[in-house]
Amino acid sequence: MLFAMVHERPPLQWSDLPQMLVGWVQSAGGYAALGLVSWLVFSLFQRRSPSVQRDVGYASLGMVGMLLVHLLQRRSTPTSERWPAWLSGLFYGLAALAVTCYLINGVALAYGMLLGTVASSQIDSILLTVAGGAALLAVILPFAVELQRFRFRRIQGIAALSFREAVRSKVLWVFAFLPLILLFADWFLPHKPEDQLRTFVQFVQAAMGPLLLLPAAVIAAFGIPRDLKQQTIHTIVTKPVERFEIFLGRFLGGTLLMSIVLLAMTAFSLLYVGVHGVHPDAASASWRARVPIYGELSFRGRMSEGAGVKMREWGYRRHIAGGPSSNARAVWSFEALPARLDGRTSIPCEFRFDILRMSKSPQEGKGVFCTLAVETWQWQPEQQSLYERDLIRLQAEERGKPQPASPEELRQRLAGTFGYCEFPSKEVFDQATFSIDVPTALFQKAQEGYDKVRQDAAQRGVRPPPPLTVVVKCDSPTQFLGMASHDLYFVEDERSFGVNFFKCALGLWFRLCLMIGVATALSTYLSGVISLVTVLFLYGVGIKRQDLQNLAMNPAESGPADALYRLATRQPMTAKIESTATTQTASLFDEAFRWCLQHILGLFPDVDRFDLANYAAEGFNISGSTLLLCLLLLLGYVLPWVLLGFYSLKSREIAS
Amino acid sequence: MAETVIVETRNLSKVYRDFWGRQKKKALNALSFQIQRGEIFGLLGPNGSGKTTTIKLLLGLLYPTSGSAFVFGEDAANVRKNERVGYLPEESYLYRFLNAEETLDFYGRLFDMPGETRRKRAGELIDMVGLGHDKKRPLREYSKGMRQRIGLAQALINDPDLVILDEPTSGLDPLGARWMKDLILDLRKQGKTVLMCSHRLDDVQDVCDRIAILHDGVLQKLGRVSTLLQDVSRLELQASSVQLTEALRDELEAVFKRHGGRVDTVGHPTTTLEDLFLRIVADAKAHPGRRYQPGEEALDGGSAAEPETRVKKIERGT
Repeated sequence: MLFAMVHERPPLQWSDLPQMLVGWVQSAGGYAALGLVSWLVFSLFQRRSPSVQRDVGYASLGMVGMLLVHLLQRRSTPTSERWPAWLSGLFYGLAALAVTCYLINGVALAYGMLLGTVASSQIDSILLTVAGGAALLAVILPFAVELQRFRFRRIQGIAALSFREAVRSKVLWVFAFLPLILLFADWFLPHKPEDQLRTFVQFVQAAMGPLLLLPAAVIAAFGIPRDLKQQTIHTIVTKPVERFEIFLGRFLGGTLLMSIVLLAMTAFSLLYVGVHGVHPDAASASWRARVPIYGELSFRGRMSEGAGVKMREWGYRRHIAGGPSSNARAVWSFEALPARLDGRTSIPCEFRFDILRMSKSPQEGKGVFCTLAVETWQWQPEQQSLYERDLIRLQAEERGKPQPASPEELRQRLAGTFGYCEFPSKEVFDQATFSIDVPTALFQKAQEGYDKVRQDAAQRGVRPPPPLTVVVKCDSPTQFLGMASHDLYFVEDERSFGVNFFKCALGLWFRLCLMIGVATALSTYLSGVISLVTVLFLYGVGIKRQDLQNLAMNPAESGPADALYRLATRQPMTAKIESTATTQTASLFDEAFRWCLQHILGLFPDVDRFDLANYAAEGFNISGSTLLLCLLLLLGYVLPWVLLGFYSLKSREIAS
Repeated sequence: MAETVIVETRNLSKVYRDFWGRQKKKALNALSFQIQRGEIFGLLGPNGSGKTTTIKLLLGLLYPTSGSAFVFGEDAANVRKNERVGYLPEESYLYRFLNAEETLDFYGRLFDMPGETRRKRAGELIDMVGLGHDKKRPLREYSKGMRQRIGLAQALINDPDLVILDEPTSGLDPLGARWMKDLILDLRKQGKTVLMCSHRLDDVQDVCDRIAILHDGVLQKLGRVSTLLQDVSRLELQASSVQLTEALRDELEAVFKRHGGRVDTVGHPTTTLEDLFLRIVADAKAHPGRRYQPGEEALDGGSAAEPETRVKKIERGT
């Protein structure tokens, strides 16, 4: 029995990073610009904060702000803190650039709307990115300037205080529940032997989540408000402590405490598995950490003939139509090949497909049949007849032998010669994982002379053919096979389950950092209870963020105004509605609604991205790049909150 | 440390507002004063007169609505000035789950003091405030007086040049109050500047060089204590080694009459209750089991403070 990772959306990859970064700069930069303008309004009406924040406000006026700031600077007291001229210039310049870009973008948008033309989305994107980047940098600059005044010893002192506070308030007793849960885990866990470890990992991760996240949120949300309420913070801020050091100390103290607890709980869970014992079936399924090599999926054949069509409304998989006459093929191109081939006769290729039946199977309990062909870059389709002739010849030779080789063995023998190996009529079932052994000779063949092919392609400025491809064809008529990039992969290696289990705990650690960071940032302005409720709300919505994202991004979906119009005029959802002033207004409203929803969603964390439990449960290695991408995602989300905390602490009157 | 003006406020005003920016209370109105180096300066006034607001503005805990405040010549909101400031809040708001040693170690870290210096200094300060036997007990088990002592120790951890004390004798028994006053006087001897506010007028009178009297956020009076308390319309004459008789009284009346005045009262002066109390306690310690006999003064130098509670000059940590 094999388990497979089921990705309901493409996992994060390095290639996604540039697009994610642009989106982040635009979104976070938009909030930064909003913050600058809000501060301006605030500081104009209530000038009770230090000079630096006041300048931030004025600078948000952009060009006009620069003039105002310089005028006011002349009148300011000589003792107030001043930046060097170049730093001030940089700050005002960035703020001015942000405002100018937003203004140009706004004018272009309004002009386009008036004339009924659409502005170039590329220019629009560049303007928004530049504006967002400039606004972000302007907001980060005061933080960066203050960063040089931070002292590790002070932060360490506050972190240690936070740690002691939590330990001495006996909050750690909450974690005594985990051993209790584990002791009675068997009551809840199913008894299918192969599922034992998988269910245990998922169960432990599910139990540890709320057990750690809730106390973490409580500790972080109440730390600073309690200090403010009990006025203990007065004895801290009257020392040479930068206010943000209090934030950092609280954050690090909480994170350190929860990290230790997480480490202990993970070690205890692993020890429990060791002592409790693992069923052999479960061990073969999950007590491993497979290192997969993924390829890039494309489709051959026409979409109208059923190649790469999206058959399910909410899925992200695409399907190929089955049948002898179908030309639809799914093709995985592998740029990377297993590095370690010595001493191995074959490399497993695992796959799992979504089956969509258009007619009932003639035989009860039968699956759908498909043919997989693994091809190297040397393989030419014209060689097909030659390959089949050789195969028939080998079969004839084998007939006379006492122990004739199976057709599969014969195909493997030919693999090295032709760079081609076919696995015909493999029966597959819906969402079940299967494996074929691809001969090592095929990989060796793929590597032969490939460097030269790559060099030639580079010289000609074209993309080289992939060294290896896997082509999948559905043999069963009227049936569809659904697939996504990560549904077929080679297993390069296997690693230790124990290490993988700890890596999987890092997913929870990321969520802990997120929870503590956001709760601490919120608590710099809000009361403890409100901070706690807010962070739980953000986290809760974050769990469903992807569904909301689909709602916002999918233009095919009807918006609220469109739905209301159809309801009022009694028109079905599928009917094409006539273009009138009302429907155009409704469409415009829906567009604006989607835009708002999309940007508001940036406030919520993409919690699912940090859930690595399935990797360990299904026996897949969590790669370093996956962890690094998760870390970047975490930083991208937490950094704006950190900045918010910085400004909130900096501007607030501690004793008011 | 060349500056002579340690604290300065110029038309300092503070208005408390609600969330919507509406005025709730004008706590301070155009306050201007200076505190010179080596002075003990007292802020006096009834509740709500703006004493604590002034202190909080000087410490950067509040921002002024208008006007400005400077400490060591720097804006009061500037964190760097805190390197040279020690602050004892009214209620000794300390972390009650820490013990005395941990408390001082924590505050030492906030001054970026190395471990060895922190430990040495914490030990000295704990001895100075007389908490050597209780240094391992969490602060929640401390009495009010003990918390005030450890509060003072944390205020002195950086050997500050300016010590700001908010109601330093609040909640202390007469012995503790006297100890605190002695310590404030010793701080002056060490060249430090002290700014204190207190409800206890006798404390202020005992230790302060200059005072400012506030009412409803407005400065009513500012000057030297001795000058402000002087009543030039009256004359006081004290004498010793002489019995009060009718003849003496008549002679004194005649003398004053000849100079155009009159004698209002002639009699024996009374001591303060605090002095009497301190003498009784000191006598009881010196002669256990014996009742206090008026006239047999056990005090040496007029102070009942414990020897170990005398303030020591401790070098600033590196």
